[in-house]
Amino acid sequence: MDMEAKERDSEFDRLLIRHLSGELTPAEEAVLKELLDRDPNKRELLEEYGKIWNNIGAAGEQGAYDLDQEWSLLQEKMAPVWDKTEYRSAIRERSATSRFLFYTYRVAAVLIAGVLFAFAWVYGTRLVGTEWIAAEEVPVEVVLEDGSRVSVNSDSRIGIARRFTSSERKVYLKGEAWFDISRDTLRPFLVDAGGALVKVLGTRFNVNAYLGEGKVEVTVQTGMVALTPKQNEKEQIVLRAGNSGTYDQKNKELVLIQEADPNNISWKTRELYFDQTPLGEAVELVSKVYHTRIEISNPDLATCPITVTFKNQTLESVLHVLGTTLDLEMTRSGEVIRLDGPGCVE
Amino acid sequence: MAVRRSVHREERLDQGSFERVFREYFTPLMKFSLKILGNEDDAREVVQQVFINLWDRREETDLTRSLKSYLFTAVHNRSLNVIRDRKKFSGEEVPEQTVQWDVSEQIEAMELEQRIMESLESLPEKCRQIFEMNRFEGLKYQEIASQLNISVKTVENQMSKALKLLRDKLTTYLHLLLWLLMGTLN
Repeated sequence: MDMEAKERDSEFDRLLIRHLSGELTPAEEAVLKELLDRDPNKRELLEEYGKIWNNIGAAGEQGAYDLDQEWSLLQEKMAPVWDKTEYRSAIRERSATSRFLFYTYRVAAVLIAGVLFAFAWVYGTRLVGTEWIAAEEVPVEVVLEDGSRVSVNSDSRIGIARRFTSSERKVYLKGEAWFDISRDTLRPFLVDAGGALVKVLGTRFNVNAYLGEGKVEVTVQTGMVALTPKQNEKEQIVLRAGNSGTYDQKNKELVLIQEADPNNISWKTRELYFDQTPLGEAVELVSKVYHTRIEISNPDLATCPITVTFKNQTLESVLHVLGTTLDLEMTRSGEVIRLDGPGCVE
Repeated sequence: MAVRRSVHREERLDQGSFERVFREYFTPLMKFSLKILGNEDDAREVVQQVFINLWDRREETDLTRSLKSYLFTAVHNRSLNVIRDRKKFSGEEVPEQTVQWDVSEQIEAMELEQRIMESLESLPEKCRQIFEMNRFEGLKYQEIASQLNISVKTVENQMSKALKLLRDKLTTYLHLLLWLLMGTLN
């Protein structure tokens, strides 16, 4: 190899590394281009080094994940798996003790004051391996194995598979429940609500299947939910935050309502919105939210319009406001609160 | 009489080995799933679920055999399922799958990356330090020079030396570098 070629080689080496690390000046760039044009082998060599350079860069990104953190994330997720037996008995306890922790979300944690009548049983034949949890007079909170939370409203019950499968998380609902579902795109969460199926990936929503034969109403607080008739799974409406949707099994009708009635989830949020609402309707909602029976003695009163918003009030203060507004007289006889008064106030 | 058995002994997962496997494979599996899904949250869910399944199936899993290909195949399949579900669930516009993902190539890629990191480790200390400052931290020659109190010329020489040494160590993997590059650039 002559001297000139040797010099060219060492110049090429120098320019090569400067080129890769982005240090080339415009003048050097011109020199490098000339060297490459003169010798196709050098162009090949440059490409080869280029590949190594880039691959090393990609390999260097390996530190992008904090393995300690990732490991603890996995362990959190696997908590129910690590020790299944211990975990199952812990479910009840968790739902009882963490109740006050997790509904700081828009709701002061005063939800369940009273006696819980929760009991579970297993349907021997029809739904093998499904555990039913029922709420009688007041709502019951349930924490599922995937961390999802369900508030089962009074007179409602929910059937939960003893173990969710790897492809879906399915529960059965009779009555009404509010869901806060952990996101798991691999296992959609399904609520079988009689006539309709509600499918979600992870979100907060309410399902009301009290409404009567085969009628289901879904109200979405956050995220996205699909509502599907059970008989025809191809048909579906997709509900987003703020929407509600109903499915009526009788006339097979799916309806999407853009602006959901916020009172659909009052029982959960304890927020009641009345805008020129007839007292009869308002009282019905108050009864539902506060799990009490309220009756109106004077039928004329039932049509009186009322406009007021309650956020997280006690039953006493709600009744006090209604009473003052409409000049009502209230008597309590046993379980029943009776409202009486002259009629609508101008 | 004690008889030494040379029969293949299967090794089962316990919590300790499970964690070792997790730490070894998490990053390459994340990268693989991320390539398919383009979304870190979804990718993490896929990878976590694969590890949870691995734990569930630990009785059937022989650590000494095909663990690598089991993990990569599972991540591959689950990632594709996520794409399918995205379509099915929301009717969102999801671009058709145009790229075929070859699991064995991903395994080779992971091994190559490990090889690259090993090669880096084997460089002379100063040389490696300078190379990493430039390649990983993105520092200019001038910045490296003033930080380490050396001349720019020295930085350049060390860089050149590092690259050559790395190339020598990685020559046998050059065929892999070719396609891997395509995967990392886009």
